[in-house]
Amino acid sequence: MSETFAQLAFGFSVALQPGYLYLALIGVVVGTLVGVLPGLGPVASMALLLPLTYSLGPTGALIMFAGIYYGAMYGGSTTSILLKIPGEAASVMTCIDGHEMARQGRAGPALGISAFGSFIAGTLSIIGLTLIAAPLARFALRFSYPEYVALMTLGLLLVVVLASGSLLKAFAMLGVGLVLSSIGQDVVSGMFRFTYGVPTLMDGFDLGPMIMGLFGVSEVLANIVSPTQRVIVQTRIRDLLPTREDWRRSWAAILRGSGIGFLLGALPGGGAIVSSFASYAVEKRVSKTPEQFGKGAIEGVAGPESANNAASIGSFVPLLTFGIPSNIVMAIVMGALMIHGVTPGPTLITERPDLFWGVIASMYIGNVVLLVLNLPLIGIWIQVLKVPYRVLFPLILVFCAVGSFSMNNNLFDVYMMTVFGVIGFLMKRYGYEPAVLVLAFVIGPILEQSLRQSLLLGDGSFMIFVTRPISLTLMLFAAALIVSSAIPAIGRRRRALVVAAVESSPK
Amino acid sequence: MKRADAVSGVLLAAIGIYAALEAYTFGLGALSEPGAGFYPFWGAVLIVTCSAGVVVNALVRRPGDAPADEAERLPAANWGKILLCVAALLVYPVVLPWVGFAASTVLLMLALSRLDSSITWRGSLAIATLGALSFWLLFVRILGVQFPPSALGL
Repeated sequence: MSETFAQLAFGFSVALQPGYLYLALIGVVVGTLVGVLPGLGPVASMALLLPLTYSLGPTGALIMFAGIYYGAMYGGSTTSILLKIPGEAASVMTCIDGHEMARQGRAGPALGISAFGSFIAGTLSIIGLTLIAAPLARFALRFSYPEYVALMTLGLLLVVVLASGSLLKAFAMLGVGLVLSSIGQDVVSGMFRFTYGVPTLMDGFDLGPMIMGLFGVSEVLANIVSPTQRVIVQTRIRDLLPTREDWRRSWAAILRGSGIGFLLGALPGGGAIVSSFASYAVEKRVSKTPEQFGKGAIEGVAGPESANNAASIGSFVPLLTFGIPSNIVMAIVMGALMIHGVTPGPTLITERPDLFWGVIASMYIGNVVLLVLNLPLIGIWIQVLKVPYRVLFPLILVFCAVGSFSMNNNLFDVYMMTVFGVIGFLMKRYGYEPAVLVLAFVIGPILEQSLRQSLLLGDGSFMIFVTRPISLTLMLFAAALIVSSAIPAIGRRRRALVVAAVESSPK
Repeated sequence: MKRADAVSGVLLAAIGIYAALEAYTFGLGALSEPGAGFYPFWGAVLIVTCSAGVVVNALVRRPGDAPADEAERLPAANWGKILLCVAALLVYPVVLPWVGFAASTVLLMLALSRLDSSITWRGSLAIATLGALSFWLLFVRILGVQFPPSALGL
């Protein structure tokens, strides 16, 4: 315990260095900004900012990206409450009761409880992360190749099962990601795969232009085609501080949301979106007055907003301890770290304690800054909401173009980015999930190495995955997952959940 | 979206088959010592199997299936906008080495902002110059990115 405190104190000594403090600040401001702006979420903006991290170093990049992710969770609620458009996807549930509260003239308390709930949930989750990280990393050290294969198999399966749309399409995207990840030189045999003599392909396919295209450009193209109508609730924002009655109704929802979010965030395939749905469903179920949900129940704002924040922190758990990204945002974070030659994993905590504890400490600071940004300074963000999209989209596209060039000083990357933009646009239109592809692409090389090493160890027998206890447990979970998603009844329920999610998201 | 599924499924299957054949030439190795082609080959098999499933699902008509959704079709004007947008982005890296970063970025921003008919020419010019200036500040001055010098000496 005291050791944890000492290490956390060391983390603060890193995070409080002016340079890193500044990056945490930039991260949370950018996060709030992209959270507030509909049509620009944390994934797209991290893709956009990937080129900037080249000059930052791994610790700075991680601190900034973390700030963007949890900052976006704060910002998203503002747009949901005032416009009934989710500022980013994890704030969908907040549209329902948050916007209803705003229409009843209670926008202030809705914004207030979102910010306080986010702060409480965020801080509790960071405490959770602080306490669990070191023991979990020690446990992860017991993982060898077969365990990693099992863990990644389970993780990828969860991501596929939880992806929106058809399972077959999600599995196909998984395959595409795995094949793309094998482009470049094979580490074992030294053979060049799918390179066709193109020099830039020799060290593998570049993540930067790919995600800038798939998540930045494609998002803009989709928005050009179907622009969203925006009507801001005309109301004076007052009484940001929730009343005693508001608190009485919300505190349990905030605590439950924190727990749900942290757990679901840490699980592969989970993350902020799923946990906000789960929290809303739980709150409605445990409420004594479920009929008030949809009519401006403050619990329906407090729960999901707490949950999405907790999840954004919780999703750092598997990345920092096992080196496995649990969702697409973490895949990008991992990509940014690997650009700098840092491969997250169980040894990160001992090899790079500055990075490990620095980012955790920076989260405590970031959350306090966000509380200030989202309560006293809320007026600024409401002004930001008035910036029309027609001014924004040329800026976003040019940023993508210039940014993807700047990563390798290579004009070829601009073409790549554009091509992936078109592919991403078509994929989303026809129900293929780009997030599955990118996640598989990022995990791909580690999975390949682990798989080949395991087979070497096991002398070609797949028994190696079931004769080791940890690997066996994980594989049993994976098998259960396959069976359950193949059983029609559960498959139907999964579909029903997705349909409900789509229908409840305001158009 | 049945037709779209059939088309996209066939396309994906073709990509998968190609990748599988390529990967096969890398050498699959034995299970006790997998070769360079082992992993991409099985990845490609996954693509082919699943996309074949997508195609079959799209072709088999089940009772109770909703009729093909025609309302989802995009109006031609929207496709036009997308094409122009993509064209502008593709032309940018071609023009950049000739006229340099500043001029090409202003032109790109100008072209993109003209896509929205509600922006006036003056508005477009303002967005383009201010935008290009801020990108120049960020990428050239702050981040020190080296852009290719203009071949025309601009």
